[in-house]
Amino acid sequence: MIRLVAGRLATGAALLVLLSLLVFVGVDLLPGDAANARLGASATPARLAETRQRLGLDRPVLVRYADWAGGLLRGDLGTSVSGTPVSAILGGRVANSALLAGLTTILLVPISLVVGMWAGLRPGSRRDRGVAVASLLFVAAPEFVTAGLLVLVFAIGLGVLPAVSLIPPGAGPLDRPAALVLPVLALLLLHASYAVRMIRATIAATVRAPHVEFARLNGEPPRDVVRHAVLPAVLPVALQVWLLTAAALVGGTVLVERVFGYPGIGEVLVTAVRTGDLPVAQALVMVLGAGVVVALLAADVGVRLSTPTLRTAEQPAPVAFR
Amino acid sequence: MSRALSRRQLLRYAGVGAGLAAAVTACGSPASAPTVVGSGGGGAAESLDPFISGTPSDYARNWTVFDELFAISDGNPLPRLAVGVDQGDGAFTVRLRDGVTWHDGSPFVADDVAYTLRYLASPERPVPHELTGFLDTAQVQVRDPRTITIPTLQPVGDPAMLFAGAGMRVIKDGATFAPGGTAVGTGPYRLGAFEPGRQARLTRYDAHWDGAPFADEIVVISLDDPSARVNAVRTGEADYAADVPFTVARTGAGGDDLEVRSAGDTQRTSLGFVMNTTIRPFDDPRARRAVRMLVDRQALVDRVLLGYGVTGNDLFGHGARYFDDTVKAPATDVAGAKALLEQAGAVGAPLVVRSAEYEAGMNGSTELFVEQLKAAGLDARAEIVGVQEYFAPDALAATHLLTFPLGPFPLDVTYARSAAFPTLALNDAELKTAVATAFSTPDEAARAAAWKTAQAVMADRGNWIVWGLADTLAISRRNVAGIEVRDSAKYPYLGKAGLA
Repeated sequence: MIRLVAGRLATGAALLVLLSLLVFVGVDLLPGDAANARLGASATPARLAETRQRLGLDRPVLVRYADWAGGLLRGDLGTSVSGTPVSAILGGRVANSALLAGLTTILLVPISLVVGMWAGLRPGSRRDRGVAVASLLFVAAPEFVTAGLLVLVFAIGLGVLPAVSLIPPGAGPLDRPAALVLPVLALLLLHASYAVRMIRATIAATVRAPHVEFARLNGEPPRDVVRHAVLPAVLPVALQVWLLTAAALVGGTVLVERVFGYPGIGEVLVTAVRTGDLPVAQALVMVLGAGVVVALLAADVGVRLSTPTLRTAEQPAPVAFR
Repeated sequence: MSRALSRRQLLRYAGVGAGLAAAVTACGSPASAPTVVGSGGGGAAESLDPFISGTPSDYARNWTVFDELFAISDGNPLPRLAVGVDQGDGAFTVRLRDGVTWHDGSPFVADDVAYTLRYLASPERPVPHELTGFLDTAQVQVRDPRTITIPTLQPVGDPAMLFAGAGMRVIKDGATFAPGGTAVGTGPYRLGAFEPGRQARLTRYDAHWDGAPFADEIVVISLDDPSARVNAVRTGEADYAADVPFTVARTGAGGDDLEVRSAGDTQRTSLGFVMNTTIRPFDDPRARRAVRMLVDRQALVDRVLLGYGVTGNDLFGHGARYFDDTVKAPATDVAGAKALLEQAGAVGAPLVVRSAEYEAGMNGSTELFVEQLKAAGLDARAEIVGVQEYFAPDALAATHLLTFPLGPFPLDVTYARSAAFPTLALNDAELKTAVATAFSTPDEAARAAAWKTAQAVMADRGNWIVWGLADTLAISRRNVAGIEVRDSAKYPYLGKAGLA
């Protein structure tokens, strides 16, 4: 198992190096650069050349990449087009976004398991069909639409929750928990619905399986059937779905954050892309890339640990889906 | 005339950036401070440094914490920390206000102004400041604590307007603005707690030279998303939100104690297209005139501004002093336009219209404009790009038309801005002479006459198509009073704000 984790970590690290190279060189090939973005309308050719030289943009792209990657290893994320250090801009925002994603994941696990079982144990029943329709609806609706509807109902209509996540300076989102409710709910409706659909399908298939039918015909109480025959078959799938959802939530909070003005990375990412603030965009891509790699690694290891045949087998684990 | 503008200034003039919302706390009722919400973009990069700041929330905050030498009020320079300017030979002398104190209690002196000028000219600035093109900041002489002499690099006819147009805030001698630090100004509010891209709490500075402010506290909130800004006011979390989209305004204020406010006619933003006179077909004045006769301005106002605005007269600078509103845009005349295009040999010439959404509605107006040109039989095409590549010089040089929004800034700023860029400029001897005169003459009448001439040239053979003047809307609680427009209604002056 240690060898597996070490191997996966090495692969992850190699992937990140590749990603960083792609991001850096790819961005370099786009029209416009940091000098253009900085100078805007005052970008006369002479001034552009001067600014490029001052920012070191006149050096070959691979030399600049080595510089940037070296800084990255030392924890120096570079300087934004606005002149502010990137680390000062990202600061607590990465943690705030992680909090949103983490809370959503923690709530999503029990909710999706319970609802998925509740529907899946009686495939084709009225409640099963109801869950199927509702979850399909929330999976299909973009999260900012869901978020907008939540604001309309709970903030503007009922007035029970804040419409925007205003966090006073010096405080964190946890100091104002009400500000977290609607953003988490919006994310939960989308991602839990997806997990519910996956778990429900697995449970529905499992309850029709011969070994479950055998246990039931042997007169085992329904509770024991679920505990001994259904759950062991469902958990590996569920675990994988949860971990992949967590991976999708890395960076998947951006749109919802914007709707609520939540102080996470969403606003930073959107602005960096819109204004061409490449150092900030590059740093964010690396942070998000590392997050996804770690989440996928956890998914891989988790599936192995929860599947006896994989835990003992020598052959590699199946590739994660989605 | 080499008055180049930085990106920061561009954003300021265009009024783009992280939105602004504010909460105001009234005197004696500590529970209710006005909360102002601002309009959006780049919030996390907000800075306490008034020479870096670039979002509406930045401006709104810095402009209550700091004071300027001169401010713009109704298009005219208003003395603030300066009380007057005396013209000299190759230099001018600024007389400073007496009895001004910094928030830390120390007196405001000429050395502070000298330091500010050195600071803005320092090579470490991310972008060169526009004043460095006019002032010899290395040779500034402090005569006494109330008097400072500033040599010029080129004649400056109206130094007060120069300072007001540049929006130069005065910082304290020796001030630096490290992230996480604070800012000491002379303005009506002290900076309290501050987190970039989130909130700034401003507390009343009772010793302000212009009289104590009305509100105990003002909270400036940065909210990028326009709907979030409006929602903050509608749910009572903020009292005022600047820069509200027309689509939202159409749905109404959303409450009996709320209202949608327009900043008024003189605060409208001019929206238009600039023709590139360095390449065909617009190197020919007849082709320029023809396109100006083709455009249906009212259709653009109706569809892009949803009626929140009026048609323009093809001149930028509406709302500024010396603006000539007697000029009329050419009447729509498709047949006449086609005849002119024929004479210019421009029939069938391809026209690329470049646009980026650095002001809401830019891309929409471009697409509609292209449709209008196509309907008249022209080979027009829209080229929509990202904001960061919009001003790439090579691409601009190859573009025939480009979108251009401009707020109600002094004509100096407007004409300098178009002249700073070869592909935006109109290379016309009469225009150049007139603008140079307007810039350099200290004589009021001569300046007015020069601006009249410059605008007559633009009306006759200019390369501007200013199709509309867009309203600037805000949503506000009815009892919020005293929000003044100094520089742009998108980041109003909050120094006199309060709850009525």
